[in-house]
Amino acid sequence: MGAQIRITMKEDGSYYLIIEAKKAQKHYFADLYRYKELLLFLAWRDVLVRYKQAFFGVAWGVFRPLLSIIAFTFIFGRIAGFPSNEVYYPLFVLAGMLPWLFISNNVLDTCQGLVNNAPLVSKVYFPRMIIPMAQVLMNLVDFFVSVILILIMGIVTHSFNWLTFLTLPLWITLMILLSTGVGLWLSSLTVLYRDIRLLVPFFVQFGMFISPIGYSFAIIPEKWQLLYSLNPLVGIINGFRWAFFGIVDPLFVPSVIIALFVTGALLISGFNFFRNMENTFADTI
Amino acid sequence: MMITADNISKKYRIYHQPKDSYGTLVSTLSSYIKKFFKRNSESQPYEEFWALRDVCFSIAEGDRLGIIGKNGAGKSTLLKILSRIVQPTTGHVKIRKRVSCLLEVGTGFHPELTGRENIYLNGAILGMTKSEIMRKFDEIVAFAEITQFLDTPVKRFSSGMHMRLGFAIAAHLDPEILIVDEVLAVGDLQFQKKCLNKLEQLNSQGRTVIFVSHDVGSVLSLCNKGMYLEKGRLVKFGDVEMCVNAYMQNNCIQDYAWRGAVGDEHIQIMSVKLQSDINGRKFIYKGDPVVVEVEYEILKSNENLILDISIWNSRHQFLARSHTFASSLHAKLFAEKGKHCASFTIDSRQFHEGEYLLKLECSLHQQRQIVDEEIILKFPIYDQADHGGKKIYKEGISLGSAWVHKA
Repeated sequence: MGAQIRITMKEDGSYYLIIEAKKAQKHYFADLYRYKELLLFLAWRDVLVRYKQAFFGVAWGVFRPLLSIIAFTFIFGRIAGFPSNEVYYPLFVLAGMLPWLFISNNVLDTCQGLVNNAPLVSKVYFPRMIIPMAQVLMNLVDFFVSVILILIMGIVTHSFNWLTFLTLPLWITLMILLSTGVGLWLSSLTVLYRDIRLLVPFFVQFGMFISPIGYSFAIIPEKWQLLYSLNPLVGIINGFRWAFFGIVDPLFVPSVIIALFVTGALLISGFNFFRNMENTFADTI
Repeated sequence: MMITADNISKKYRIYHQPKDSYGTLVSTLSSYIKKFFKRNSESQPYEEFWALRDVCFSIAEGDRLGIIGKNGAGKSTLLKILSRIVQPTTGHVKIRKRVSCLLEVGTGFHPELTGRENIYLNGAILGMTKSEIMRKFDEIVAFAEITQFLDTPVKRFSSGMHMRLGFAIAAHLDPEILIVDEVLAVGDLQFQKKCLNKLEQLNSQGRTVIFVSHDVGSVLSLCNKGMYLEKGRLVKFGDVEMCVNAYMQNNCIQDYAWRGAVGDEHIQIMSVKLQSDINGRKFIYKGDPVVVEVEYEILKSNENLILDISIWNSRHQFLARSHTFASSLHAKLFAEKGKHCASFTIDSRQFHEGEYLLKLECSLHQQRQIVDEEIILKFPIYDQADHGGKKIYKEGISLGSAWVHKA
């Protein structure tokens, strides 16, 4: 059974907090807003910890995509000889690698999030949604470090299409929303089923091969293209490549619509699922 | 009313199979598949357990509520509900103003981060804003006495430093309602004193405090209202002394009477008891007279008989003693055959707050012990609330207060 917490503001600024054993909650967003500083602090903590523990520090954010694109360029570009729409191949891979690394890191992090923060969850109150949200925020820092890398490479090689580049924030937003939706699902499911933590890395590895990261969408046989596009990452990666280089893949618009649709569905259902589960986190964790 | 709780209950499930409260996806899926094929589904056997049952109470602004009860009485569950960590199964709570909750000091400390970074993090976790933390930063550092370790990762801190820092941050919270679990139970004496002083300070500012403790002494000295929980139910709520009374009666905190029949051909000891009712209280405040009554039967009079009362602290260290030889009535106590009753009054002002043991011994002077069995009573002495919380000593004899200013 869910419970309700209602906050009633009064004119003099004081408020009543009502904790009730009922379902649904209207004031959740207001509560979330009140805890915005904690969200920033938790994200800041995770960033600090990541860069303190990593030997390379901030360079870590650059190294990982760099190593991956070297490998992909070698395998897909040189050995397999896949096309890259006249774009410098490493740059082409990097454009797909950016959203992929962000989303996959989020998947791996958020599925551990609540469980790793169990002492917090069982000892202090705050809207639990802050934990997966802070992790998304932390990964965004990594993401922007890698964006600097692609900017430098793009400017040096004169490969950017600056007109479509202006749409980049839209694709970044979509990528964040998708990660948040998946994160809400995974973080709450892991509290229920601990073995999800062990299954997720396997699916992430699998996901890398069914997304057009090291290769172009165009090499997918035509009859499989629609099925392939059901993966929301396809639309997002297509979007990134369009924004950077102006590449219009076949099925570009349908794949983006699918990505939008899947993102919306995951976000709304993830939010509701999380909300239903949230009240019992402290009991079960 | 600051807090109104109406019929709150909390139910937990206890699984009989060794299973955690969470499951694994694989086992859940496989049990679904089994169910699908078997149809006659046997559900997971579990027992329902009410950690709290129909608890109603309300406290006003400036009240200091002390919650007492044994382990598993539901104290922590109640605190967790009030601080919104867990949700009640039924009922509702209405809370006015900002609640800060201290179930543990140093919650959320990250071992890799420095002291400085952890102050910000922990402050934010406890509900402080960034500007609030910045304003109080120097105070916190001074209070915790960690100035030179500010930029050391917390994992290099000693456990004492860790705790001091945790408490320093918590102590600089500025809540309208403070909820404190038994944080005082940990740490050295000096640290506990600091905690108590801080709570006293909040009291004097008229803050509402909810305080859970096993230590009846600190509840009596800090709180004006009490709540006694047993097995999830509210047994008593109201005046703190009344609640402590009820708690004392139902629990073996004190052991006021001994009955039996031991002795030899000279004397039989029948009972030893402490007067259990002092001004309607079932426990002893410092200053109360503690009356010990011994009932015995003289079978064969002997002037070498001695009754001996000694006081020990809870660690069984000897503190003080008195025997019947010291009294002018000695001869009369053992002269005649038949039943007698002797009483002795201990002046409890001579003792600091704490738990004491009273031991009765009986012997023939310079010959032998008559009673081999240990006759031991247990009685705690509490300090009354209006001492200003300056409790420095625990358990022991007081030298009194005969200080004189000479120059």
